Amino acid sequence: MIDKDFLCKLFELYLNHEEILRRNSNKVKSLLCYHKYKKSLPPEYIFSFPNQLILKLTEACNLRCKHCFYAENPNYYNKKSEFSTSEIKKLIDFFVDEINVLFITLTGGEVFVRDDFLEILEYIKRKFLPVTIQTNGLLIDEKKAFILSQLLNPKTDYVQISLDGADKNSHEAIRGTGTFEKTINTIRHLKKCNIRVQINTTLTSVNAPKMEHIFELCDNLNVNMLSISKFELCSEQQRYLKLSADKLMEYSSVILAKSRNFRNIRMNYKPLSIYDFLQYTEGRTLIENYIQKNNLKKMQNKCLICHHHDKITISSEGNIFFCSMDESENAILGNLRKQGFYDIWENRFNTPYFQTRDMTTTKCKNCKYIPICNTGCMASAYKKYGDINCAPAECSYFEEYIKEQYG
Amino acid sequence: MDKNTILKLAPLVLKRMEYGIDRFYLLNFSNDDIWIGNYASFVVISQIDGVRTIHQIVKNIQDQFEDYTCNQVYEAIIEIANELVKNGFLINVK
Ligand SMILES: C[S@@+](CC[C@H](N)C(=O)[O-])C[C@H]1O[C@@H](n2cnc3c(N)ncnc32)[C@H](O)[C@@H]1O
Ligand code: SF4
Ligand code: SF4
Repeated sequence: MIDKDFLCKLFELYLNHEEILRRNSNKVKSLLCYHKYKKSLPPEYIFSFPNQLILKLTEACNLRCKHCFYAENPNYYNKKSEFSTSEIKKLIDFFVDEINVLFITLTGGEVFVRDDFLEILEYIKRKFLPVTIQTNGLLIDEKKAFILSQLLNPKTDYVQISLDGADKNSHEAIRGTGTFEKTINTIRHLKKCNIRVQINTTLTSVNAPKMEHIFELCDNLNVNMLSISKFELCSEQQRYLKLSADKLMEYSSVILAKSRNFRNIRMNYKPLSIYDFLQYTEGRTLIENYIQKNNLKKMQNKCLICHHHDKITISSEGNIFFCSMDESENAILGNLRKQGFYDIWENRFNTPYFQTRDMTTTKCKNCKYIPICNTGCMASAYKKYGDINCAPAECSYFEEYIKEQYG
Repeated sequence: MDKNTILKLAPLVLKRMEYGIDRFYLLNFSNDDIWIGNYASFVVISQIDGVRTIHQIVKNIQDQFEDYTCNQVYEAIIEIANELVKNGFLINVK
């Protein structure tokens, strides 16, 4: 059971972290022109075309991580449906020159498994497109780090490396024997070459007990950012990795408290949300008091579509999605191997993620917690209830609220 | 700048057309400047490729928009191009 004082302290830490994130995003130093452009758009503007592209270059991977989204289907990593080098170049020409996307994230699978990865990267950088690379880092040696530094721009580009624990045992229990030292060495090579590095960590039952030590490690490695994510359960075999509600609260409090001693490290801590507090009666009281004390009001007519359709994901098979959180059959906008992009984009009106989601349509509109919650992730809502206007799966209050509202 | 000038986008400058509000953006990721125009400026700047002269671009645009004379198109392009060169969004190739 969670103690009332403990919950109160944790709520303070949580609010403090949210406040720091808000402040940091208000004084963004990098990519200022992008923020100026976004700010100049009318509120709730729906983009004509996406401005960010997440491109999954391959399904292949040199690891078989226990927590991986794709672990349920081991054949996933052997699928051979990826685009060829010339097909990728054509896609890049189209999305940069014609659609005018402003950002690209390259991910997989493991992008460095592709022999042509550096050739693809060079092609993108010739067009000066800002790039983020997501990698496990294992295939980057000193020489590759140097080549990367010749291609990447320290102002606009960065490499995200997955590190699933602050210590060898935790990390290797997820990612396999012999992976910890190699990942750390890669980060060192990249930093030596002046490349911006973000560490991506997924919080699980395996790495949470020692996660507080990640700050010393990040400090020591001089990384630019740390992002700690929530583990998404994708198969029953992964259930042991999921933290119980109480354990999540306990470890989050240690991690958030420790982060206050490392204000030089920009951290985004995502495992804890308002929904975790709503599971406890005391938590609900804390939130209600907070809303009342700060006189928080629900936003009127606010568009609640998560990212205003400013980004799309293209899977290695050519499927296009609005949201990387839902890559189910239902969420496919179309397939680039079968249709042209303009046809697929037209089809967005027929897909669940393009339906209206604002303060008039959301089922949450009368919820007393909406001024702080804003209803959260619509992919999570759609996956659980088949309706983007429901609450996300994480909200433990929704069913109670619906009963209160509609009987 | 004259009819034989060849221009291209400066390094780290990206284009973005927002059709919904008829706004064309140039974003300069090296000095964080933005420039805002409209669809007409998008049509013009999309033709600037570091290969063709302003004269060739004028001809091309005039073929598409027959309501305008070559001179009108030329003057419009020169005005935008001068401003963008001055602000570092475009550079002279020749
Ligand atoms: C799918 S991987 C692809 C890039 C690369 N192979 C890597 O591991 O970084 C992208 C990120 O998703 C994270 N990830 C994988 N499975 C996850 C899950 N079930 N829940 C949350 N994050 C997950 C990984 O840890 C990694 O940081
Ligand atoms: S390295 Fe990335 S893609 Fe490969 S198994 Fe691990 S999490 Fe999945
Ligand atoms: S019911 Fe809706 S508004 Fe209320 S807490 Fe849950 S998600 Fe948020």
